[in-house]
Amino acid sequence: MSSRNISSPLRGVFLLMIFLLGDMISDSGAKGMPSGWLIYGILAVLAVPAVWVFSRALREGLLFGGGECPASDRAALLLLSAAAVLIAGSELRIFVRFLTANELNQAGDPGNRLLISLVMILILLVGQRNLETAVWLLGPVIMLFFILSFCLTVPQAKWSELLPLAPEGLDSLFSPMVHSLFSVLLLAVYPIALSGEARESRGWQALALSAFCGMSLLCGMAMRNRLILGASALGLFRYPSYAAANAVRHGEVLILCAYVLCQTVRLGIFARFLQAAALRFSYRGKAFFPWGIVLLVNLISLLPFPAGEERTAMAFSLACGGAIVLALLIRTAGARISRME
Amino acid sequence: MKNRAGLLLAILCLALSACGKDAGSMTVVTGLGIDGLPEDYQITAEAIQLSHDEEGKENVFLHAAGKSLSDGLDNTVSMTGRPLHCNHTQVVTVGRDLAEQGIHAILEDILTQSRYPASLQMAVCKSAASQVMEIDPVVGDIGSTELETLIQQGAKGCGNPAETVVSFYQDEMEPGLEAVLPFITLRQNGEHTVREIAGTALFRGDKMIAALDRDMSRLLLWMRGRSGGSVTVGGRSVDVKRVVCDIRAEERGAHITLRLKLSLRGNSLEDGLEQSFHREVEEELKLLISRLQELKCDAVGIGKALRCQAPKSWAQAGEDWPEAFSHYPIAVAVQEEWTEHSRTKTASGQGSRHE
Repeated sequence: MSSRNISSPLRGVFLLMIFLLGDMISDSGAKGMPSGWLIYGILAVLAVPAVWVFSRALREGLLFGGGECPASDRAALLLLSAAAVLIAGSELRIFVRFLTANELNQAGDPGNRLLISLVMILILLVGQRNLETAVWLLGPVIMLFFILSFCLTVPQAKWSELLPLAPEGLDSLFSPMVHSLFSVLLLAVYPIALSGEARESRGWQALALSAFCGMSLLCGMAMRNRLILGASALGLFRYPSYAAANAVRHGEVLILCAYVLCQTVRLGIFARFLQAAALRFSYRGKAFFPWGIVLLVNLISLLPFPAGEERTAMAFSLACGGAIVLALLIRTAGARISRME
Repeated sequence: MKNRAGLLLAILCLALSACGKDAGSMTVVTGLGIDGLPEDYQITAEAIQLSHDEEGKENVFLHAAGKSLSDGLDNTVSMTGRPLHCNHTQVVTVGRDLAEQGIHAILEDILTQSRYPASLQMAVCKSAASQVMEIDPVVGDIGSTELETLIQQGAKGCGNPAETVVSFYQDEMEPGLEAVLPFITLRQNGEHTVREIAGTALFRGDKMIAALDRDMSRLLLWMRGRSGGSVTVGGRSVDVKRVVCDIRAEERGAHITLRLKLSLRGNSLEDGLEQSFHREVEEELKLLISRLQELKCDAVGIGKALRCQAPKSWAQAGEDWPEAFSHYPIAVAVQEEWTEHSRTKTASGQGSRHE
């Protein structure tokens, strides 16, 4: 199939899925927990209604609606943009730290930052449709890396490690589930806002399928990590997915490639959202938006984010997630009021 | 279209840049030996200086002291002027003296640092680890690679365990199961000293307490659920194709029955020989369990089975399981299934209680 003939839902499937998979590497939220796979399984089921809610809230075109931007939309965009720039900064910091800490190249912190920034600028320059096409082409490659990585490590799996299902106790699942809900699933708002599917009457179904598949893959990866690393050792690893893939010599390359591709797309989507939001406010100086956005994200990433401590990381996710929820509520209320008028 | 191609290319270039190290400037660690005492470790690292010219590849031994493994490795920078890359380390060996003091700190250091691979094999040396690491390989250039192959091949024949740092840590943390590691000795082979996997190092918690020879190791590994190896019966070699170890706790957990089912394949044996083999295996099993009880080391996982099958009994006994294990009533039963060409027959013992 030529990329020119790709139907709109197909583009949406890969864009949202790859965006969600960008969360695969760090140990934040549920991934560092023995019962993380259970939490991701629940979130995969929750993804379907969540995408429906997001699509409903964003249906009338938050970013690409014609005419003047109403006050409620402006407020929602400001909140979403503030959350996007903070999350993108945090993600960039994690990405650079991962590449540097694992000595995956010799570019060092500034070199990796520069490389990623250049790709982000390129994504902003080529536009949404080309990004979707690139993701549509990369999607199967990333899936192949995932499947190969799973297959290679299956012989190393200790199946007895799967029991008991929740060694931490069911009551201690709530907090990491909220963390993962806010730091993973809620962020699906950004690709949904950018994609055209939300504006189509039945487009949300393709997006829901995409989110379900993405969260299911994260669930599978969390399960694989537990089977390979064991419930007792899982919490010790800063990058459990990378360590589990590394159980087979050189097998980590597969997850590494998949992560680099997913995380680049993820950062590109945050930047694309910020660009589209900025254009909604003003067209003046739009040629400088890509450079300004990438510079801002880089500056934010230099702030001392508390990535290491679970409690502060949780507070950060709650603050960003709260801003997103508030933005969706404002947007929905604004749309309802304007319809009543 | 140009934009599209440019975007794809840029993303792919970023992905591939991960492989863009300059091989000529890398010092790659292939094996580590750790001696000394906790917080005063003596590290021996076998490292290879890669170069663009294949003939320029050399392996060297670096020695350093440190409060932790990572600290010791970082201290080698003062000798080489460049950091060591540990992502390709194949084996880490620990001297017996240090293993007897406890190795939990080393394990946590390895697991929390993302610089070591999860496939890193671990072993205990009878003598100093530095001595074992520095022995010239019999075949090939890299001693660590040879050592790792020795461990893996020995594990295939059930002569010794093969444990990664991750799997050892899992066993160490598992209530009702003690961890084991391969045990390496040095042997004189003509004029040369060579390394040999002598059996299994037994641990209680993170401290080594004793070593088993290869024959006892085979029985232990069968009981830990590993299959493979061969045994000699009446001068004939018999392959052990499959082993099923079933550990059953009585309803109230008052005693445990350990049933070992061996699927054997070999040339036909006289009935007398088969029965004598059966008795021999059963006697050796009893002997091994008696030894383990004497050492208060549940390397079989009896406690783990008790924990799953009789939680109430485990709640009482599990508080000080090594002590409870030392006098726990354990009955042993062996069952063999012989396969030879088209013939299959089963021989099983009554099972005898061993207390």
